[in-house]
Amino acid sequence: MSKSVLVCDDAIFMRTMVSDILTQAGFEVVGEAETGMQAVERYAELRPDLVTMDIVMPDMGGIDAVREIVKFDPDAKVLMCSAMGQQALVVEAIQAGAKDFVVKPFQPSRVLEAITRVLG
Amino acid sequence: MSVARTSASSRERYAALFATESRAQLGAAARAVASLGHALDDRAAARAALDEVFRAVHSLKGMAAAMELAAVETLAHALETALGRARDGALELDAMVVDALVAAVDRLDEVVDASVAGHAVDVAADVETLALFASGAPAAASVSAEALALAPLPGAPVVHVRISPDSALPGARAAIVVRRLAALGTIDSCVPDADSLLGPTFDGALAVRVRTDADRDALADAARGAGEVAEVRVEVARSPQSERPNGAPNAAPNGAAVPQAAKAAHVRVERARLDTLLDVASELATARVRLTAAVANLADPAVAAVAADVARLIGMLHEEVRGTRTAPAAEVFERLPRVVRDLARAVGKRAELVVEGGDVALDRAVLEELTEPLVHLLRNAVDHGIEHAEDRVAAGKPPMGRIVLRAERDRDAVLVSVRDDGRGIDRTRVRARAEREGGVPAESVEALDDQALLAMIARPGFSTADAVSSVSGRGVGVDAVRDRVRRVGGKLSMTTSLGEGTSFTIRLPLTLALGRALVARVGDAAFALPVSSVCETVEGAPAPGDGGEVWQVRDEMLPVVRLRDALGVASGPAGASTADAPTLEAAVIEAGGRRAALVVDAVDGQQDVLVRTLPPLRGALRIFGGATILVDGTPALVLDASALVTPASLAHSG
Repeated sequence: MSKSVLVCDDAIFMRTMVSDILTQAGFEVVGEAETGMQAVERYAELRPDLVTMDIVMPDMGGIDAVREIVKFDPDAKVLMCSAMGQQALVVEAIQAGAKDFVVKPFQPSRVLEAITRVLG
Repeated sequence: MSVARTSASSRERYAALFATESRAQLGAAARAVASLGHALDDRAAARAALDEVFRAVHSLKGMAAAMELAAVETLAHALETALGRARDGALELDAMVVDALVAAVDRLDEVVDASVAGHAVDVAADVETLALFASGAPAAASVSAEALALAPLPGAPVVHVRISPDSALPGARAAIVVRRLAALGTIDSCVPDADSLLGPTFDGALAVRVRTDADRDALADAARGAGEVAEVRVEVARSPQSERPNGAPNAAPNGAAVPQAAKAAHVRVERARLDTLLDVASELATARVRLTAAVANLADPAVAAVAADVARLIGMLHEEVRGTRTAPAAEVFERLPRVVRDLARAVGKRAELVVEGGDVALDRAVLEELTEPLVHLLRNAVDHGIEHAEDRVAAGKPPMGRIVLRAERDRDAVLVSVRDDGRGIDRTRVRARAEREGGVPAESVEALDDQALLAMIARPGFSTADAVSSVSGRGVGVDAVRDRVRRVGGKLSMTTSLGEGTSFTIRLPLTLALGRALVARVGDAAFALPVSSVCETVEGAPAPGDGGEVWQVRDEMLPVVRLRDALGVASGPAGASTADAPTLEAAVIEAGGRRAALVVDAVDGQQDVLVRTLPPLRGALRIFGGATILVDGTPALVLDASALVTPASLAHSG
């Protein structure tokens, strides 16, 4: 059975792009979220194998969302999606419990490598 | 004929011979390779040094082959190949190549140790690095200086990681490494620290010390699993009580080569148990002092004889237990010459570190805490102290800057100093800078003594460098050094001379010091003054002076500190301490070259006390350096003379 993914980003463009990469690689995108709050709610509801999480989102940012999700499920596997220049935030997210990160612009191979590490 | 096929007795003999002779060859190689670094400009000397390293390594290779120590043989061979190419001129000798050779000789030393102890060692990575060098394509820059300074401890290996240079966010990648290692144990230290990981200076080299039961492979796998990791090296403590090697049960193909005595000579003990043991032994030492005093009152020769025996045994016990917590300063020092060389190279200067007093024993915990401030001081010396070679020559100095790192015992303390022969600190500039930053006391430049100068440069964020340099620009200054030193109960002092150099001295109390103290009283309370800071006791009366009271001792007019005032307690009963009393008692104290008359209610004489240090205190309470229990069983605070003789105390009192 293919692994389920929840894609969280406030930009439709990015959600689409991430979903495309994942779908082509055989993952099943089971849900999307536009805000950190939504991400937490949808995680509880869908219990996906993997979450991709943008750092900057309205209504609870990605880092707080990671914190909440990990509180709810310590084994949650969250992959941060970051722009260049957000290193401090990425580190904070990792300390909050995110397992890995990818940097925009996304290269499909890098995204998949990171996912393999997170799920492996 | 290989050793393995000879009789057991001759095997043992060969093993013993190998252990001794390999040590000698390694020593020769290490000395020669070190001298190579100084001889780069002198072709003949470089050639001679190279020949010597080559010879030593070659003969080690031959012995290792006979002993069937494959790892030693392989590494020695790779090193020999690189040396051969350097000798032929195919590999040009520069600082980087010399560093690689130094590192390879170090590593060979480790591999010999491990192999002799019957541990399996993987040298593939080392061989690869050497091959790269020998082929004239140097590998990436060596591990950063600070990372090198982090030493593995028993039960706490150090994981060296190099993040791939094409990682978009190397700091974040490093954070994942740290997190993954944290899952296997407790992170003990991390170099660079979490803040520096995010800075532009982070070059991808990371060293993490982890307290863990996980083996080498598990740690390496965890680090590699973080992704974008170019290189992982796990370093375990070299002493036999450290980690068992991977594959331990069958990892002793040369079992006969293992000196049995060395195997049995170490056991692993939790640090907490040693601490408890030391506490108990210390209490016992205190009780011994009281026992001796009580027995003296009994005047029973039989009891006195037993008591003397018990006292002597307790003294031995205390010493032995304390010994388990100490380690020679060399454990940290021996890594630092390389650090200085790397630092100097990073800023285009030439500097060497001379280490003295490596055999001085220090508390292990203190020694560990000391590593970072020492690296900072060395970095400051290289960055701010040592001049560029041409400036040094212009100033009539040798082009190679010299930094001396020295440890020495001084009565009840250990002094660790870092002295450079650089440009010294410019008082005028420091004062101007401090004035610009505001809040500077209106002292003239001339009145600015070394301690006041240190206080200025130790203000958080203070830097005398005009431009932030690549080496010292990490926002960690003298303030951080001073804080770290204080945390272990030490004191930082400094002397500097313009054009001649600067010397920083860290004064560390021996963690638990049994020493003689002068007991003084104020009201009902007793205070102990280490006799090391008391010159004499005097009776008399202070006289009014220009800047406050003074006390004349022979020809000298000493400033007066009234302990009552320093403690902030009201004047005592009439006649005891008021100025109109005819006779007062005072102790003449001295610290850091300053003397003062400390006026107390009464001086009670001397006794042996066991001083326990207190955590660093603030404000007026800084006059206390520790606590103790007196012979009669009452607790007493130990006064710190150096805090009492500072201008602030004197002004307070005057």
